[in-house]
Amino acid sequence: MSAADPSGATAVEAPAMGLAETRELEERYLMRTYRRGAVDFVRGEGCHLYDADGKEYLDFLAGISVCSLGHSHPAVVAAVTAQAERLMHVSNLFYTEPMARLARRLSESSLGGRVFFCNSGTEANEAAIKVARKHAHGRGIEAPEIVSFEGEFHGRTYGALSATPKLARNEALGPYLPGFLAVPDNDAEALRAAVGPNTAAVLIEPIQGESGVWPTSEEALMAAREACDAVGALLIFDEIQTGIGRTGSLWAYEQTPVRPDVITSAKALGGGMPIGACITGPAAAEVLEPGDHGSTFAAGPVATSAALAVLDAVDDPTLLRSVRELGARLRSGLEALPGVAGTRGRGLMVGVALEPGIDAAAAGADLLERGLVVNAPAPGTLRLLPPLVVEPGQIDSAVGLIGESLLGFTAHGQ
Amino acid sequence: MGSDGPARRREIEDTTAARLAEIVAAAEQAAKQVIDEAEEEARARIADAHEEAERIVAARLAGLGDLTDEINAQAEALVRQAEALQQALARAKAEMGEAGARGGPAPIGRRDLRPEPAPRKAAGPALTVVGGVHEEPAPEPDGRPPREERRPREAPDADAAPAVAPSPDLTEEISLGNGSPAGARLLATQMAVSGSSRAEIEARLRNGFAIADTRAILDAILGPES
Repeated sequence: MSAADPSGATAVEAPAMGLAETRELEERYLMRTYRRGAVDFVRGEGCHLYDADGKEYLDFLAGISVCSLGHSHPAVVAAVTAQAERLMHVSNLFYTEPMARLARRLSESSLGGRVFFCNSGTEANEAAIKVARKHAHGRGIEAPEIVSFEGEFHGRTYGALSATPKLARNEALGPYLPGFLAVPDNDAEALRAAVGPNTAAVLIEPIQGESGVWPTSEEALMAAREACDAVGALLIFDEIQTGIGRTGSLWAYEQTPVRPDVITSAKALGGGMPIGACITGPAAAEVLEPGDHGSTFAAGPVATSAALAVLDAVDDPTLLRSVRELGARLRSGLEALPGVAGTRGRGLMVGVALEPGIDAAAAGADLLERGLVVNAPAPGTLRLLPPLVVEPGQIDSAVGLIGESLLGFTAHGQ
Repeated sequence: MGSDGPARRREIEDTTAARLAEIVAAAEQAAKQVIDEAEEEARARIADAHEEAERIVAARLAGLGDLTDEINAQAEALVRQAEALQQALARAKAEMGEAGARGGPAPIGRRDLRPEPAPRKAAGPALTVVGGVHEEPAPEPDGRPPREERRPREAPDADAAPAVAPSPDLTEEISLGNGSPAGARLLATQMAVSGSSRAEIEARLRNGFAIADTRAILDAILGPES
């Protein structure tokens, strides 16, 4: 229920329905595109979430790597609040300072070119695809092609989905866009063979997130760089999940032996506010021109102010070192657990390979019951994406909860 | 007034007119002289400015010529280095091939302390045209059902439904299968710029590139260890 205060402002409506009633509304009114976990979160603080009954959860998913500074980080809240009180939206027909400052910050922290802002990761990849295709047309290519690895996920809009060879595909949604090729994951030779005179770009996740946290091999990355250089194509890194400190450096490419021409960012960039960015190096900086692309909401002052606050906090060597150290602590703890076959990833982006016979989805649901939020992107894999501000004790608690849960799924515990 | 008054007045008027004409002529002459002098001075200054500009341009062109020569020399040096690097790579590749043919050590970069990752390559053709009609997935070599059959079609609660079921025994990130000095240097440089410690960079170089002595690269990028 809303209540007006004497200043004329309307108080934020407090959650009052509870899980059952919320689910009932969803069943009646929302398109059935999601299968949600059976919990109704109403509040978050740091690494914790709270449901409508007041139960506390340790959040090791962070809204799929969005809330990297934890929930309701004071600096982000302050930036959003101050900007919302001053100016919320004017469109891209005019200048706004936070947008310009954020563009400079992103460019100078990465490839040094220009930035196109949008509202999500899939839109960032759409922009990158446009850049790649126009860049190719500028080189006289009439039917440009974009090459990616099979296990990648680049988004759900049609361009990004067409560059997503397997995940989230449904031929009932077809036809997809032409001009996209896929090669087996980490197959450097197949990639070299696929890149040719019509190649506009190679689009790669440096660590595949949605397919279960699979780092792309350095050999494959170098093959992609070499193949792109040989034909003049662009190398694009999808850093939507890996960027903004997730792997222990501001950008994941900084821990690889290559430097891409374009990177895309979203998720953690806004600290919970929707924002995406396509960032170029000099080679692709001048490709898009007035009229080539646009967005009504993109780079609004509130979202860009939030992103500046996020970068102030994340682009800090002490925090990034902590991410690397805590990631090692997390993986070390997990690898000692019965039921865990191994771990993959970098920094605080961790995939947990479960022993054969353990259903990751069931383990994830059990962990939710126990108060730990994770997700199961593949049948045998748990994915852990804790906030980057997680504390060592919280890492140990999560490992303890996972150990207790897996005991129930292993032969030893049954 | 006497009878000669009008004549006298005419004489005075004529004299005055003549004097005025002389004054105007003198003023005009003086003005012309000033203008001439000013024009002369302006011409002189313009000539000086032209001379100075030509001197500056000549100096700049000479400087640019020196710079161009320097850049050309550097570019030629880079080309020579790249050629040397290519030759070294080719030699290393040939040596690796010989070692492999002789049943020698594993390719550079393979980690030997952990189990090898399970292959992630699809069993089907290497190149798949996305968006067209999908071919029937070939069965996995181990007899398990095709990957497409091992996952639900709908997206559950994440950004994407998993289409590929990773092998559960894959426990470690895949490491580099060759030792590229250029790649190693770029990796080390980027890690250093991003704030990684000497020990972290050294570990990546050892594990990912199988570089036993990382000191040269680390010293070049971070400076000698104190």
